Amino acid sequence: MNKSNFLNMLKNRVLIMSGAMGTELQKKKYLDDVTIPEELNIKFPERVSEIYSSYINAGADIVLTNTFGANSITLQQHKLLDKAEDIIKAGIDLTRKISPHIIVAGDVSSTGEYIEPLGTLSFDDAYKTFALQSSLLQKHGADIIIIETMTEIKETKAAILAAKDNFEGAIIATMTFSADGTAVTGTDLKSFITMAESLGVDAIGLNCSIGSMELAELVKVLCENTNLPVSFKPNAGIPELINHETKFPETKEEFIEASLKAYSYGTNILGGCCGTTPEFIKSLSNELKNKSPKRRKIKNKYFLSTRIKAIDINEIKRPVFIGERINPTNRKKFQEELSKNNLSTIKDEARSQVQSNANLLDVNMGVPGVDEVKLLVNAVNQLQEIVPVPLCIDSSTISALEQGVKNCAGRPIINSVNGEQAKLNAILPIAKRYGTALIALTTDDNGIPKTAQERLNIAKKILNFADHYNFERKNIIFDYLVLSVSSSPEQIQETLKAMKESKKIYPDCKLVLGVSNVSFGLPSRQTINSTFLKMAVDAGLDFAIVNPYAKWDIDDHLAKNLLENKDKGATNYMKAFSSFSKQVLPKTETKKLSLDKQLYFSVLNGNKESVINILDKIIESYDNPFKTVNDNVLKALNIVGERFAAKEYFLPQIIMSAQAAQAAFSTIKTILKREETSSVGKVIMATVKGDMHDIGKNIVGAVLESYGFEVIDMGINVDAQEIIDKANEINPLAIGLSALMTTTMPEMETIVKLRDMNHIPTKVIIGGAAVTEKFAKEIRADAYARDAMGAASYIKTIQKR
Amino acid sequence: MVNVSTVEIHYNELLARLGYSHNKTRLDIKIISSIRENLSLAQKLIKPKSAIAVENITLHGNLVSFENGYKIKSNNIATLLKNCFKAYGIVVTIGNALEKKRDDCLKKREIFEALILDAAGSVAAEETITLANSQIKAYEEKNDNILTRRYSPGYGDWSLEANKQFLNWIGTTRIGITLNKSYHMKPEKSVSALIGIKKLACNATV
Repeated sequence: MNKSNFLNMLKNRVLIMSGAMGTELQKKKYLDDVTIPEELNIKFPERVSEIYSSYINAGADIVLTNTFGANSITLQQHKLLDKAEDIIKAGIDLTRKISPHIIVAGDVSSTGEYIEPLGTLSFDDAYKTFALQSSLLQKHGADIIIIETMTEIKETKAAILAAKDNFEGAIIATMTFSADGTAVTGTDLKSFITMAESLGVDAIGLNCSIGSMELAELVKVLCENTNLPVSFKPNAGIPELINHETKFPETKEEFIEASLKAYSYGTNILGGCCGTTPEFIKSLSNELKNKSPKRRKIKNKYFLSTRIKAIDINEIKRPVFIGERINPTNRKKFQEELSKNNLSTIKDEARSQVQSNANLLDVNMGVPGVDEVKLLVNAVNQLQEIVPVPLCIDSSTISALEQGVKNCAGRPIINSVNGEQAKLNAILPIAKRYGTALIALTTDDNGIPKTAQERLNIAKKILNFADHYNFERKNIIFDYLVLSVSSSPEQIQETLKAMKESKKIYPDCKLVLGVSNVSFGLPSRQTINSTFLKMAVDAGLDFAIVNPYAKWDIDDHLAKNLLENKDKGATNYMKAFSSFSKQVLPKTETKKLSLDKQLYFSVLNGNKESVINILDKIIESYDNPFKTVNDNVLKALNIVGERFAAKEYFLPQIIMSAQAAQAAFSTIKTILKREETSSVGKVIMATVKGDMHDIGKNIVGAVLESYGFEVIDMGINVDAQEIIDKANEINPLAIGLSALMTTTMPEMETIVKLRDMNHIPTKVIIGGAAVTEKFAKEIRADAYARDAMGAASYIKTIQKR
Repeated sequence: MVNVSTVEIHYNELLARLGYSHNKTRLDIKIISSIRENLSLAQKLIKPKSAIAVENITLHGNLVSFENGYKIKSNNIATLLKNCFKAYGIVVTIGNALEKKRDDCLKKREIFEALILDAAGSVAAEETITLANSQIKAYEEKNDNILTRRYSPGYGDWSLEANKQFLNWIGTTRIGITLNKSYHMKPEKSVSALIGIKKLACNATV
């Protein structure tokens, strides 16, 4: 069945999907002799056929293939990758054998791995695994693809893109949600709708999750917010695993009641997930099969989104503020930080702008000589996890734009394309593929046109190209560009005129302006910026790219006269504002301090990023920079230790200070010749054999490094003899041993004995949750450390001897 | 009876886990933001699940016999289950995604992030077992039964090795929990525990 036939069918009647596969197989104990359910397709196909038949006989129009986990990552984990094609082919063929005309839905689900930044899987690797699965479903004749049980939006995005690129039939994307309407990774229903719609799926829905009645309430939200067909495939309640049996609490009657509710909200496809049975589907079919879908009333929505939240731009009072502060242009310090891959300023700017009511954040990472693609992807990954506002990905580098929007966990805006054919050719397909909105500047190869009409002509050219690409007009946001009123006063009216006309002739398209250009070269810039913004909003402006910290409620008549070109030569404006000087912000106390004090406070406050900046200056300015660093870092760490002892600091602050100190030492050692720095000694750190706990050892290691010790981290589950051999080889100041479990603590004694037998003079210091001072004495360890600071204190005493 | 699918990691619990002293520790905005952001990440990475087993039991000295044939020999457990007529085995996990992220942070030497994620995972696991415990309590109290405290393998004379049989009894592979050679659970942020059930009237006489 081709895609248009399927979509036409959906317009006319409700379709019934099959019910649970996995739990049915489990109930019948069919999974006992395979590694994963999909292996049954080739090993015991009759078992799969039995389940398929039961659902077809129950009245299902659509049968999901037993290919839920037949992706290359899962198959590889179970050593079945070489069987991928056989598994998928059999999964489809078995349905066809039972009923040649049934709609076969290729079932696609999660790889079980999270994509960066939540996990370590790259977006491209996720895409590849879904691309293989989709292409095999295409090759062997699945009619549609259902992406289901997704819990993470970027994985859903990768699966949708892969399916669209490799599969010709309809694509249904579904995710699972908690009762509060959020997926476990924080995505809410509207963010999911926004992402799935913008990527061009044919239907969206909810599956599994929380039980049918609660899911019906969530599907109502879906039906109210999308024009796409909606699917509803609940589980029979949240399962309980009791005495080896998975029990689902819901009855068939409850499931049907919820399904009827979902139908009444306008759901088009209904089926069942975990815990449902052929009896559930039979009743569902009896109730709803072939019924006409209920009509839905959908408002005009314009969603942009983040991982966790979608905002309807149509609901926001104009102008919608796009914060412009994440942009290193003309900001030397910011550029230096970014060139060192230090994103602390952009995070701070992101948080502050959102607090100052920015609705979106523009993100520009264009720093000369820096890998902009890598930097932009990193910034996008980090920002979207800390602020809940959509991003406006801003770059003149095409590859950076593409990678930036690809890695976005929400629906962003691209900033920007213009009327240059080469840019249109390159950028519009990216916007189309990733479903973004697109800022279009009304310039072209000849620069900024002088008249409104010329700018509208470029807009027309852009729209023609967008129409040709089937890129929806509503996703174009025109920028009719404002020039400085001081140099081109007549141009202001041209901009406003173009905007008003654009709203009339292209009502679907939205408008944006970078506002602050208007005041360039004049005093009291914000007076002009704010006054102009009001005029622009009156002309139909939707989005304003601005500094959200500035005051935006100024409406000054002199500025207005100037902007309306009624104040020739800006005479009256200058008379009133020429004495206005830019407000100088008071410098912070830290900046007044000497460099060594700045370093001291940076370590004390755990500010690793500023340490790196200060170090460069110390090396330039001081005769003996190593001594300056050493003295101030250690002095700060001593205070950190005292504050920790007094409980004024707790463990996270210790780590922050330790990392700042460690950054200071490692930077100075890298920059200076090694012989100019002195080593304070080596320390072996290890978690004993049988124990897999890593974190405590790493904390101690980080603190020791902050004091300048060279830490040789031997890892976890380390054999006693290996530790002793290492000590023999490098003659360290101390061996630090960690054990978290009482069962692994005896291994510490083994190491102490081995050390004594081998006459190694190295001290052994032990620690860990269950370790005590008494135990340390019993096993003749040299010291017990209650925490990382205790370990550092003791090892410093050995160093002094 | 037991549904642990929604567990919230509370900020104050996380601070307490990290050693925060309410009256003494001073936090600036930078560290608060950093902790909250990592907490938010941790919340996205947990997928709490549970499995339980419940059987009638009989006690003979330090031997506890379960109706299905499972046995525990331990003075501590016998003491715990004194006067109990049945016992629950519970195991909960928050899944392995958080641990993977933590280990990735350690590999990249992002110790601060690793520390917060690790502590948040411990809080989440503790919240999960507490939630499961409270749900069993609510269920049993309807039948005038009361619960003993929780007891886990690896404490007292109930060895960690006993976790193998204990988990077999509960049936934990379906929620993805396995044991390593040292009898530690994987995912690491998992908790197993035994709880005894006795009649309220019985407790009143003890």
